Amino acid sequence: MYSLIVKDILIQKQRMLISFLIIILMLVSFQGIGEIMFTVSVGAFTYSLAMTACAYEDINKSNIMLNSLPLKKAKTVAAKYLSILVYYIIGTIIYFVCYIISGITKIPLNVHPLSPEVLIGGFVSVCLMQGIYLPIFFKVGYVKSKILNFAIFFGFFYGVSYLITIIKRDTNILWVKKLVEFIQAQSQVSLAMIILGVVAVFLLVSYLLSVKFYKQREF
Amino acid sequence: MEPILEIRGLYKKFNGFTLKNIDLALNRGYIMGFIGPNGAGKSTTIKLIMNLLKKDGGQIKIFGKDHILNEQEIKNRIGFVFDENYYYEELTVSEMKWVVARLYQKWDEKAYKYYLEKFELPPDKKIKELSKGMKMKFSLAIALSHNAELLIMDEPTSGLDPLIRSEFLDILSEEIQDENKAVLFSTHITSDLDKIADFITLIDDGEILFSTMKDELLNNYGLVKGDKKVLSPDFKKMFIGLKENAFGFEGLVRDRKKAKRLFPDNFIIEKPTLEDIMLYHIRREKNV
Repeated sequence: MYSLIVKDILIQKQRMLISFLIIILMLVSFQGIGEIMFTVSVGAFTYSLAMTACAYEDINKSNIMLNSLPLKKAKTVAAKYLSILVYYIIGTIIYFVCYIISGITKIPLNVHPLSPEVLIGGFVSVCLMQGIYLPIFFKVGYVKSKILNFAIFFGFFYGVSYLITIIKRDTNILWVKKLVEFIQAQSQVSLAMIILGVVAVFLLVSYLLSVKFYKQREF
Repeated sequence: MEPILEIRGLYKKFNGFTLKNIDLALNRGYIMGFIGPNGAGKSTTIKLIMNLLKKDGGQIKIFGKDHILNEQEIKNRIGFVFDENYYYEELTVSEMKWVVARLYQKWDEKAYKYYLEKFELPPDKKIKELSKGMKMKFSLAIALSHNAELLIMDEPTSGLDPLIRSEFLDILSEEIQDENKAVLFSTHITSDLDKIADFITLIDDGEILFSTMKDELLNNYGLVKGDKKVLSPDFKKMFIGLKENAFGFEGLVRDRKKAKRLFPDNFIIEKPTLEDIMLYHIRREKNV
């Protein structure tokens, strides 16, 4: 499984530079956006690398080769999920380096500082987005899932900001009220644990679905 | 001794094509040529063996074990070469080897280095920069470097120029001298098998037409030529396939010795090639 994760990085060595530029572009474009800056820039970075890795599977028709190797389908799927964590970590390091450089050089680029909330928020966004996409990818492959993939990407960003607007505006709606009360009643740590727990369950369901779909596929 | 590959009643239905209850057995120490025209079912059969397609019926046993229940163990002992490159084009030869080598339990680095040198494969070159022949050699180097007992090759020579094809076959026949190993080699280029095959299995329209020793085929079958004026209906019945034109006829018979006894002296009876045998079998209904 380790070699599959490394493989996904090796096949897009050159792409890494473009993805790095995506982070810079996001930092420049989303000045003053606040703590969402991290989610948007590292989210776009992770999304870009994850999609490219999936695209290369189809371009190379490598499922035929992968499934001829002594490799369990569940491991092939797991490697894709773990790759996302790796991209997120790389993206976070790049973001942090940008933050340090902007602080030292005093260039007119305001990079929002990292905090546990920011890191968790970014991680949750990345997990939700890929958790929705990957089962579709494993069911139909990259080419067929392309349109859906764009819908998820834009739907996710607009959907999340729409949801936040509703929560802030319509605090009288019963479920919103209850949700806000519940969140406010939690300590920072327990709230983080609840969110990460929900994401973990979501990812597990997503992973099991991906394995099921991949096992059913023919090549 | 148990066959290294045994297929019983293999059935797979697609829209417009059906693989009809295929039976096949390959023993250790043999190279089986799996021949048939394009679309006959060769690749489908191989994909079913590799569990790349799901079978609708039948049984596949490799090393005496069910190919799905023991998939990982079996694939550790199989080497494969497909009709085109399915390795990642963006990786270099050594990067791709590194990825694959870690997945095999019995990876033999020494053997890999030997083949790398022998095939003159440049380790730092990207796979997409290799010629088709070099890509096939890379696939062969991987297939031969993890102590595989069964090699499965799906049209490995298609698209290669005659020189590279001949070189590829020389390498293969040289390397497969082990009584414990076996090769299933699918091709529609029958001349590939003249040098290397022990067994020939012919498939057409999803059905196995025969699975026989190559020498038996070439020694028994006969290619008959003559004047069609003397071709009586009784004679016609003896042919597997028959081709007629304005000048005469040419046809394939199963028993050359019998044909020599029964046919008139002015009929020419020759030893057929594998291609003759394949062509007359698959055109039998049209021609007889």
